[in-house]
Amino acid sequence: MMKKQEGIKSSHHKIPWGSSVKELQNGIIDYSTVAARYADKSALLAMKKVYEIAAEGPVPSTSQPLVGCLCNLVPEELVRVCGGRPLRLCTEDGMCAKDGDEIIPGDVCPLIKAICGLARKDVFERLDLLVIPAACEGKSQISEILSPACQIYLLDLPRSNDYLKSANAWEKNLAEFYRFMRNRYNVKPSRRELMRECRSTNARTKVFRELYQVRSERPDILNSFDYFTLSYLSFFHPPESWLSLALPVLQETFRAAENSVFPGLRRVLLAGAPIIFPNYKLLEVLENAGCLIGADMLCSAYGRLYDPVEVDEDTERGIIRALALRYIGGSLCPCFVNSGKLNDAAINLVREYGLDGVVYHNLRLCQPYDIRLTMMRQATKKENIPFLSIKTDFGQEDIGQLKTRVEAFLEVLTAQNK
Amino acid sequence: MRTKRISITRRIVQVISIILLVYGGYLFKTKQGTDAQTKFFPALSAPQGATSTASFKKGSILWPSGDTPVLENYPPGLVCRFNPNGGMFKACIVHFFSENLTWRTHIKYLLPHITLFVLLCFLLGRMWCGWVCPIGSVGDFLTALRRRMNLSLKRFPNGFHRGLRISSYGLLGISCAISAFIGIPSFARYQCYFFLPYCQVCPARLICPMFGFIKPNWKDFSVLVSSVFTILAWVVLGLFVAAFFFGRRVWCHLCPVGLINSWFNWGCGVELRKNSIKCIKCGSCADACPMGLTRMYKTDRNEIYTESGCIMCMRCVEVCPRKGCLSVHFFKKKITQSHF
Amino acid sequence: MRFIVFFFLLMLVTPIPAFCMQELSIDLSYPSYSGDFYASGTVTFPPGTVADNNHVKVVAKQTNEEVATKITILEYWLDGSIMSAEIRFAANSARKRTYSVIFGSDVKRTKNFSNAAVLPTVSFSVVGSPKDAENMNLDVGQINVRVDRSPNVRYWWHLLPIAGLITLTVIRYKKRKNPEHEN
Repeated sequence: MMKKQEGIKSSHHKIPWGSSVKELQNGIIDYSTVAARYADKSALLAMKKVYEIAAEGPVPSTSQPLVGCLCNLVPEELVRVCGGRPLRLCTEDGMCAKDGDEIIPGDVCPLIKAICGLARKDVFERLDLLVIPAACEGKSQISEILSPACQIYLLDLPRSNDYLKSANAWEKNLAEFYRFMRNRYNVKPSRRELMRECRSTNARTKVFRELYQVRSERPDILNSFDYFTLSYLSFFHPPESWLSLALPVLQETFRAAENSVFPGLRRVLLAGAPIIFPNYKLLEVLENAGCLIGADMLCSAYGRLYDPVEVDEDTERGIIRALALRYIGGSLCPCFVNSGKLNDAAINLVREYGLDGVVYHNLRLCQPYDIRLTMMRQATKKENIPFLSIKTDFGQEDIGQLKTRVEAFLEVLTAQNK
Repeated sequence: MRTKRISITRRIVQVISIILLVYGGYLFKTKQGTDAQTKFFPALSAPQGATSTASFKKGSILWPSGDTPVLENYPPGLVCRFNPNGGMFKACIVHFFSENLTWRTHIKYLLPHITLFVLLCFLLGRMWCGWVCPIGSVGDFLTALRRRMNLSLKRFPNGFHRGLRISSYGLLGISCAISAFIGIPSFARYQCYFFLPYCQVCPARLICPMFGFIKPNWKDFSVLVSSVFTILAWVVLGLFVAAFFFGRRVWCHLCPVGLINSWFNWGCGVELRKNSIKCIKCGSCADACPMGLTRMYKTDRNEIYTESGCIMCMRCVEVCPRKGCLSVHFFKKKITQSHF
Repeated sequence: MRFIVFFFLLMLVTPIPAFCMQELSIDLSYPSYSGDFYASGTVTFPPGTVADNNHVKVVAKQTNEEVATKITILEYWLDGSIMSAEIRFAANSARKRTYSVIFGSDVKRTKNFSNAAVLPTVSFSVVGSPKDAENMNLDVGQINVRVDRSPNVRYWWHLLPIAGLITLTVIRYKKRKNPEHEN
């Protein structure tokens, strides 16, 4: 099962997870150091446990078969009900990106490079299956290059995100995927088990919405590092364990919020390409400048956890269809043609949470987000919402430039607020 | 799943409606033509001047076995006349039209009934279909049965529903035409066979008596015409039941009573509104609609998203994952909205 | 379109319903002598059933054939239909038959005869009809007589709310179709 390609050398930069070697100077990212740094910035005690888990790295040690997924588009309930442990492999580790650059040189999105670079860390060896939804070009194409390293299932998705046109295709593709999973792991899960998984997702959604709401009111207590790390944990933790970590955080935030008042700092909406642990460069710049993130629209946090699974028909195909509608139909990913959904969502969030502006984060060389950038700039201009677009990647070189731009934007926000 | 508050309420209302419509007459039973009844509730009694409709021969399929149907009290626009003895609320609107077209009652006697019907439709539109109709309740029960049996839904393309609606225009038109035709004196001898043509084929004729544990009259093979009607009624009932194992509320697209109510659906008091900017276009609303409507999924410059087929079951409002996106209003006052 | 044609054809092929035709059996006591004779009797009909004397015929039960009859109309109902008629037909005491009178709007009498021969006359009576001409019990169905002195406005005022509600519906419908304010 693990036949590796010639070009991927596994022994060269092998770093075992969870090692305590603090060699940040060599450019090797040590997750425990990074986690500790952000843990120090956190105001909440309950977040300590969260950072400890984040420090262990994204691949948990478990006896269940690990099924890697890319993006949010793969319904994890189907994996969990077959006994697998779903693992979202999107990572923004700068060292992985450098490794991946040797596998895929050229003008490719750094997130894609980082995913390929995981091969150097032997992540693919430990996966039983890698499910790749045919979302953006990069993700669809790496299915070929990664196929020697791991068993790959390509989940085909139509380009159009319109329910009327594509819902039957979604249902069919997901049903096929489900059948594949059942055959592979030799299980026959009942409808009740599927519904139980959906219900646990919904329980997580309920808590997340409260978290989102309280964060929009008090982003000073639950700062953006905490928030994104907590969301990051849901990449590889099932909802029950995520809830056991998130509930203490929520309760502590409520308590702290009662006893203090929000200093009138500016709050913005963070939109665009995902920000994933450990790449918190932009968050640091924004927080240090005093521009707090009141709400976000990223697929690593909001897009992943905000929506529930609404099952109407509880036949097996009906549940699969409901999962398709929630994960694919409601997806904000710009790789689908979705007629201005992103703009509507941005404006709605700004109005609903009373935010001051939009910060649009984009990764270098990402075409879909670039095109959406223009559309969102026009839409926010029409609504008189201040807009800042930031194009960056995982390196630390442009921090100074980012600082300048953010400070200028902050002045615009402050001026507007007066 | 989340609490299905609206669905639970709707089920309760459906059950109460069946009980009231079938057995409520025992509380309100009055004799025909008493002055008090006609003076104060003209809309609830048979139109004056109407000939007794018991002139068709016994043994015809229009008589449930053994029982005299009480025809005198009926507000039109409500449920079937084939309720067992003692039922107060009788005679759907199509029966009302058919019967009075045949008997040529003077229109002034029909006005109270029409007023009540128009008032109900103006206030509630097609809400009756989703909340009160016993045939709809039977259908919802069959849908629950289908889901228990894990039979997947077969989703019909949009043209199918439109075709059914056109057929229901045809059904209503033909039954009114036949009723008017046999009212002509020279064709009066056909009355015994063609009286209430739609009632003879409607599945409600066979289903509603069973709510009161009365055997409906299944067959009448005495004459060619009666045999044809009997077979047609069986075919329609078979299609009605079978359709519920493939779709949801397929019959409601064909029902002529629903058709008449749907003419009021765009201007009535109950409206479905949508705040399009909150919509994430997941499609759950269109997926959950038992009538297969898709208008609430789209973005329109109108605020109102009620379609002519909407039976106000509010499933779309229940499954919408975004708070405040879909809401139901009654003359500008919000009754309920999607919440999560 | 096909549906309409189908129903029209269905109406046309409907067989004549049984009760549009009525039958009364004739109680004839054959005389002791053998030979031909005339049988004659009076039959009364309910109003509106027999329009003229071609709608009455006499049929012999054994052969199911119509017998030639001479029908003289005695009295009329107010609507012009026959109240009572005298029916005369020829019979033979050697060939004993049971006869019945059939009348109705669908009945057509084909055989007629005139009083050519002079034969003895035997009277018959009709079973199922009262014999006494002075008082008759005729089954005419239910007659409902209603005197309606209520003022018409008690009904016609309903037109106001009907028209009002329908107008309101149409207005609201038009407003939905073409909203004045563009969002």
